[in-house]
Amino acid sequence: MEINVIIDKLKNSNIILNLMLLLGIILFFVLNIAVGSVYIPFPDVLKILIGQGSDNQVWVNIILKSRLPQTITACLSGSGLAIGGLLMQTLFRNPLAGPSILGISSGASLGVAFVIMFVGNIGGFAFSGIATIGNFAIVFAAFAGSVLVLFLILFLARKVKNNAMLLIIGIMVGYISSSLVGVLQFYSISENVHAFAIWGLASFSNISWIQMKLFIPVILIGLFFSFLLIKPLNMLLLGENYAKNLGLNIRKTRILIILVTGILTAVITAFCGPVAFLGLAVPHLARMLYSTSNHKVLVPGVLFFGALLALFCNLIARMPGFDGALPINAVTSMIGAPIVISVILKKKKLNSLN
Amino acid sequence: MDSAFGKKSKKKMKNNISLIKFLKISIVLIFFISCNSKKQNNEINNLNSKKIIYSAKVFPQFAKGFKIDYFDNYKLIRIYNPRDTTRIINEYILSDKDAFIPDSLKGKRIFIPLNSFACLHSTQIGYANRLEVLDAICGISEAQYIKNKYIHEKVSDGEIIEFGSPQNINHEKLLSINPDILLLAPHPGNSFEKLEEIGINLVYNTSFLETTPLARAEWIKFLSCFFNKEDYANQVFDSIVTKYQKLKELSKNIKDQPDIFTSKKYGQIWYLPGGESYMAKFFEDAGINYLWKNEKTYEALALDFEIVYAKAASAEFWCIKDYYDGDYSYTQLAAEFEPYSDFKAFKDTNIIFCNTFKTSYFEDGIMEPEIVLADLIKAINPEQLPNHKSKYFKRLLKWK
Repeated sequence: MEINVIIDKLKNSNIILNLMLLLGIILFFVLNIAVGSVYIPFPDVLKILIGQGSDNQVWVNIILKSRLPQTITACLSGSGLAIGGLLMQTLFRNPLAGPSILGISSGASLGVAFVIMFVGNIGGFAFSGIATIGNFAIVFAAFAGSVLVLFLILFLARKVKNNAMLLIIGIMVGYISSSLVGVLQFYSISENVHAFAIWGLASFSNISWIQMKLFIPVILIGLFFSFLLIKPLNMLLLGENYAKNLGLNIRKTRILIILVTGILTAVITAFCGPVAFLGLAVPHLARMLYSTSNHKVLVPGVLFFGALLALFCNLIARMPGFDGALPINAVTSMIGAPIVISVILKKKKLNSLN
Repeated sequence: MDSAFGKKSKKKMKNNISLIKFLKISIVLIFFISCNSKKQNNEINNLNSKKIIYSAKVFPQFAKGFKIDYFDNYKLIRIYNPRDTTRIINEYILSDKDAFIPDSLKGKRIFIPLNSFACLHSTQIGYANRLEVLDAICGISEAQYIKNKYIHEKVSDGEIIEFGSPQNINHEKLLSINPDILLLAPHPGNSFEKLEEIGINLVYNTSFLETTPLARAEWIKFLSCFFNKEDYANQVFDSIVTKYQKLKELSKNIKDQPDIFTSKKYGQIWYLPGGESYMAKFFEDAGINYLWKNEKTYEALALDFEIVYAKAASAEFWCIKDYYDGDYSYTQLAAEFEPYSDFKAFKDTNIIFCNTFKTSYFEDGIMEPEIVLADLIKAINPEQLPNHKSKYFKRLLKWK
């Protein structure tokens, strides 16, 4: 009996599940570093990670300068986007909302399209452009574009009371930036369009250590704020009127939620490109797994799950024994889309949202 | 209008002079041929007075993408994919306006010499420039990527019309300039059916698929057929071949071939030219060991950064072509992607750089393979060619 009680308690607190997720993250983190196109023996990988180095400087550089930043980026991006998705789904009470629903990543796309294609057209050929303009310019343009859209949405959020209307406005803003991107593409040479298309497929591999110094703290701060939002999020689940009666400042909460999601999405999109589906699919996965809509459970759950799924996708994208690499979005969508389909089919789970 | 008319009459006069020349030579030729073969003798008997015999002829030695057959009063050009010569892409019948051509011939008829032509890609301008027929160009696309000064002057004078980009051709503008032919490279993904429908004479140039530098340069012969300038094309090309082979001999003696790799990461993928490609051939002829030369493919290799780094980390040289507005430097390269600075070639400042923004590599470089080759030889080993002045590829010296 007593054991059963303990097991029940454990079940309720989801300790086992969280532990398993954590172990999964550690396992995939190590796998991401140990496995890649170039074969490096596992003992050497460990040695290099511990800091003992290796006789083969090439291996050291591959692991420390290529695989490690890529793995950390994947991990944090997965968490950040998944949290963003959860926040948006709760705020808009819409199961198909994702971190990019407010047009923030479209804003990033517009910024990058502008740099690659418009500047490219003045300066010239940008096949190489995406390289010569430099990673920094791309990151900056993407960030500028998404922050611009974020401020626009925040401004409108103060004017529009209804969340559904705000959602429609966000989607409209996305359409506007997409159409501008279309115009830019139409008047660009194929090399530039190609460069832009490649950026749109996202990649965790372009961040350097210098950029990591900015990337890591911003994402961590964003994730930290999402924990502060747990209570208001739970109140919002009851409906806006109930939440108001419970003493929640709806307007303030809304702006805070948009701000956290916006910053996470903007920074991740700036450094990695518009990573698809993770933000949309992970919250659903977490809800199914924990079978709850309590954000006290969901926020850490989504955070772990996002990291795990991103690490998994990144591993598949760079499958061992394969000289090339798949674009991240091809993998995330391949995994994300079936999940979304299954969620739509199992409408039961959606009911917990509405 | 007046000036255009004057030009035309001048051209006609020129043609008449060359016609007489042709006839003179052809009489000698007829005599010569008639001594040799009875069969040909019969054909010559059928000639009427109007017929031209093309005295100077060109035959491709290196290029695989075109073949030319000369007949009594027309030339038959067949265009192939140089990498797969089993299928004819297009056939053209080049002849005088009033020449009699049997109906049984399938190819598209084009009247030569051309009065005007338009081109869709800047490489065509490289050929036209070397053949000295730039004055026949009446339309171009994407002037911003063209380096030729003469073309730019004419564009600003309004004598050459810009008609959009390969993906986005302004049909009305193109029709308004009404070129005799539109020269273009049939890149995959671009469709030109509509152009054909509106009555533009398309002539395909598949030189960009040729896999050796000399083969690519040899397409000057192809263009020369349209202007009856075969003699001149032969002259130009032969001198290129002579110089190129001489340089090739020079680098044959190099015993310790240094390792080289090329290009940069692009997104997640590093695209490298295959072992049978144009660039790989340059490296081979310059006596440099291209690290992926054993990948026997014409196509680009798409590799993960790790793979390239593991193989090329200690290579002596790194060759980069880039379109960069400014002075490229090692600092700039490292700013693009930090791990670039871990390559030995980077640390030893052994990068060979070609700035396609500042040089006309994609335009004139195609017709100057001997200069490109000399550039590469000199970049690797400056003592070999002390007097050569590098034009396209130079050692990257600027650190910052």
